Amino acid sequence: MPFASAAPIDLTIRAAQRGDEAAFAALYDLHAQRVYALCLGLAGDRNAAADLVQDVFVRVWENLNSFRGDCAFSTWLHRVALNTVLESQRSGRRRSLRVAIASDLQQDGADTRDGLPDTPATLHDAGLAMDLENAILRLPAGARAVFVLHDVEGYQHAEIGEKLTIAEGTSKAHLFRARRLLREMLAP
Amino acid sequence: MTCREFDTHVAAYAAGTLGAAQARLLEQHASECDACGETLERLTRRPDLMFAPQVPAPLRAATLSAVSAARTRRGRTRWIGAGASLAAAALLAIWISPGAPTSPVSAVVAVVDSAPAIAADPGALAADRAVSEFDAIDAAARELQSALNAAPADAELQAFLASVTAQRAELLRRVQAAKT
Repeated sequence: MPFASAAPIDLTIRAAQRGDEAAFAALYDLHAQRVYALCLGLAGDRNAAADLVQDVFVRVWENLNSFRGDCAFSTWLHRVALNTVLESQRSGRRRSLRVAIASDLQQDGADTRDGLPDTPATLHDAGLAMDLENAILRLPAGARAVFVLHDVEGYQHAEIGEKLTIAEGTSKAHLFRARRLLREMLAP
Repeated sequence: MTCREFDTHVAAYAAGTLGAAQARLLEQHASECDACGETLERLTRRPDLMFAPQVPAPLRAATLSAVSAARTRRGRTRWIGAGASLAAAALLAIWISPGAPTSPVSAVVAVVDSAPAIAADPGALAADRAVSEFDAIDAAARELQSALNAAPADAELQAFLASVTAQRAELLRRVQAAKT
């Protein structure tokens, strides 16, 4: 019988903990958007983000019974997701975020639109509707990671510094730069 | 850049019209000066911005499939784990008998390796066998504890004793259930 998607979250979690696949699918439906946003924001690539989402939910399933309700399930899941992404970056399976973060602030090139990485077209091409998602994906990796963690996920600079192993001041510098670049990219 | 220079340029920065070189200097100053940093953060915050990318539709099926695959792998692990439980009981017949291996770990490894065959017996945990299995694993726990007393730092022994202790508790529950 399909799991009732309208079931209270705690019942859904308990059912998933007992191995109910439909309940787990309901948990995916509830949280996939935020997890995907986090993965995409940090990875900066849709394919990598899709891989990471799968890794996250596999890990969530594997550790589901360790969730005891000490915090909100969304908080617990988000922590699993962030750790999964950061571990993936550190493991070198994907581009090292830390290296990118360090190099971003050292680059000599001016932050002109031409200097933005992997930009397939200038942002002011006629008819190009630049939305925030694409703008974020065009940010340098370090600026993007800090922007997503701070402005989207709500982490403080001290926490971000700890998670990304960078100085708090570096995190601030990345954030300011990210906001400026976004403002430029999103300017009419 | 000084705080005074920051104040001079911050409006242009917020408007996105400050030159790149000056902007970098301003950002650098803001990262080092708490007061200017707070000012910049307040001026540049865009709370209206929402980052909510659309999840690719095929990702749901792919993810749930990956979870299902992991579930299968884990199920296999658990099944082998159940076999190991029985193997631990069977170990006692070997280990505490004359001529048994002198190393508890080697004996454990040898028996646990045969766990799948043991676990294939679906009736292995029947109530009428619970008592004898409990006795065996209880003896195993005591023997392992004894070995651990002699080598308290042996991580492998520690791990196995923990496993056997848990299995002992489970068998005790079964014994009690069988008696009622």
